[in-house]
Amino acid sequence: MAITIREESAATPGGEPMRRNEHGQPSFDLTIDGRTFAAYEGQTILSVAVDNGILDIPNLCNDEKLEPTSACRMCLVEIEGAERPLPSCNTPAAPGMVVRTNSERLRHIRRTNLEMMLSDHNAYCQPPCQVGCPTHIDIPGY
Amino acid sequence: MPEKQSSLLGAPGQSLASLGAYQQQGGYTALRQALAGPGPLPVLGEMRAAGLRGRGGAGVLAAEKLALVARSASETRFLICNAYDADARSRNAEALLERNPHVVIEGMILAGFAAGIHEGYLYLRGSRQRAAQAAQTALREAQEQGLVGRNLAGSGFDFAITLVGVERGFMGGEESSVIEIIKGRPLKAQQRPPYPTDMGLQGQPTVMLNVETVANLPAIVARGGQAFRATGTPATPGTKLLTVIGPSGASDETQVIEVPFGTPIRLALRLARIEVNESTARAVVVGGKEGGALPLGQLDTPLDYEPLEEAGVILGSALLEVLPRETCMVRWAMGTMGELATESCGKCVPCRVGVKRVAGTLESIASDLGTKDDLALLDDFIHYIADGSLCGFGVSAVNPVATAMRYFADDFSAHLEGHCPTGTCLPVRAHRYTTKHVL
Repeated sequence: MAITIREESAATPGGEPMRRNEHGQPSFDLTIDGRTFAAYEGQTILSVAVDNGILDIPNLCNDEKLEPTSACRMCLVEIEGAERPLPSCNTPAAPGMVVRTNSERLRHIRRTNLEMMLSDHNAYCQPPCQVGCPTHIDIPGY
Repeated sequence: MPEKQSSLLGAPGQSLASLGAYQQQGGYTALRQALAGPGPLPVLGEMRAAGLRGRGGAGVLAAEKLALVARSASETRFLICNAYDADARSRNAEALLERNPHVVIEGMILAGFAAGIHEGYLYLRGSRQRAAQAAQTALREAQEQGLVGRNLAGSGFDFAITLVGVERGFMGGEESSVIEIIKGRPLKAQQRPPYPTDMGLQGQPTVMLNVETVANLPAIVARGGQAFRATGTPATPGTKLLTVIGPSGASDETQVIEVPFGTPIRLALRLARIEVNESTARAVVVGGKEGGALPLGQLDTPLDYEPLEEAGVILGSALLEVLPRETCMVRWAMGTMGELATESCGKCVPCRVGVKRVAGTLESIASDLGTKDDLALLDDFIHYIADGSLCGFGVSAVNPVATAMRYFADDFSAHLEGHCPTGTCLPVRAHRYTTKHVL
């Protein structure tokens, strides 16, 4: 991973002047469910939510120690300007983003998604686990 | 009026496959002029002026992708020319590479020149032997003449092309999967954003362009962007290769034609010498396996991105398939969804499981075991799969059943009443489709 050192440049090109949070990370604001939070560059929406007490975005395949997979589709959130719900575990927060974590559409997706999984989960996880799982989830990683 | 002469494939019976034949028609002039010119900016400018939209199905402005990568901070960039037709029945990329491989090579180098890219991949279906051979021979010829490789035509610009032959089913042509395959990783779609133009091969800015998009670039650079806008529609200038499959489905009846964008479907079929009417045809499937079926009344729809989307179909693999008169649309939808279920990469739940569920529900309906609730259930699933899927495959996978329900609702009603509307369906199930955990 490249390490970028910047002093005056903005968190986004041509955007608001960069602000650093208490850890020195370039930070900006975004809105989740009408509330404004600070996020740092590279942070996922799910991470912002969890850091700020929004603990009810469902997620199954997410683990902070692993690369996001975005395969389970439970963490989908609605983002203003995006035509389709996006996975909060794998979508970086952006300055000025407006996110909604609950709606009729999202509730329908989550419910149907869970029903699909429960109706068809293979779970014959014998080694090599990662090959057996059709989603290719990093089971050894867990 | 559709053109009789194809410009991308050459005149009928003429092959532009050899370097000599291609150069005789003015080939590589655009490249030489570009390389000898002041730099990449005017070349990129002509491409932007042309308004060339990606021919791979999404219809994104090609030059904007190139411009994005051109101004990226990274000096390592890649170009991938996607010559892999997702639907195996489509012969567009195959015909282009067989008959005019040099236009693809020249197009790739021009794209690379415009965006400051030095490494390209030409990615095609390995099973299309003649096309792969033609591409290999053409690459070799071009390399020998110093038109591919280092210091092209003495300009100091380098561009290397690697040929990649792959045969991995429908998903083999999907954008993020192509990158995974080139990396040697398992075929699984990846979430976008970040898009390949930001983070693609090796995590570097990567432009992926459909082979037909690339093939249009030499003419744009040679004659200018404005001239390119003379054909097609204001929204979508240029022409489109189409594979047409007649009602008999015989492979010797399959043909590749080229029409300007905006040509009504009916006219395109007529150019392929197919007259569709009630006595011969039931519907026309537009876009391949993930396209949709249009009834005869919709055949005046122009072949262009937005009109096709409004009609509920997609340009997709640029395939027009005429379904014979006695086709039961429930059975057609069932068969197509079943095939798509086997083509899913399996990563995300909505596509892997949802498409299978839709196929199973359609099996029940086609076997006269359906209930009224099944239609509401299908509608539910259609929205869920389209909203929840990770990649475009899942989003478009619902088109067959969605168009069947939208335009051929009577077929569904007939089966719900217990009989096949065309009298051709045999039951495929004795019991309703269900699983241990019933929804």
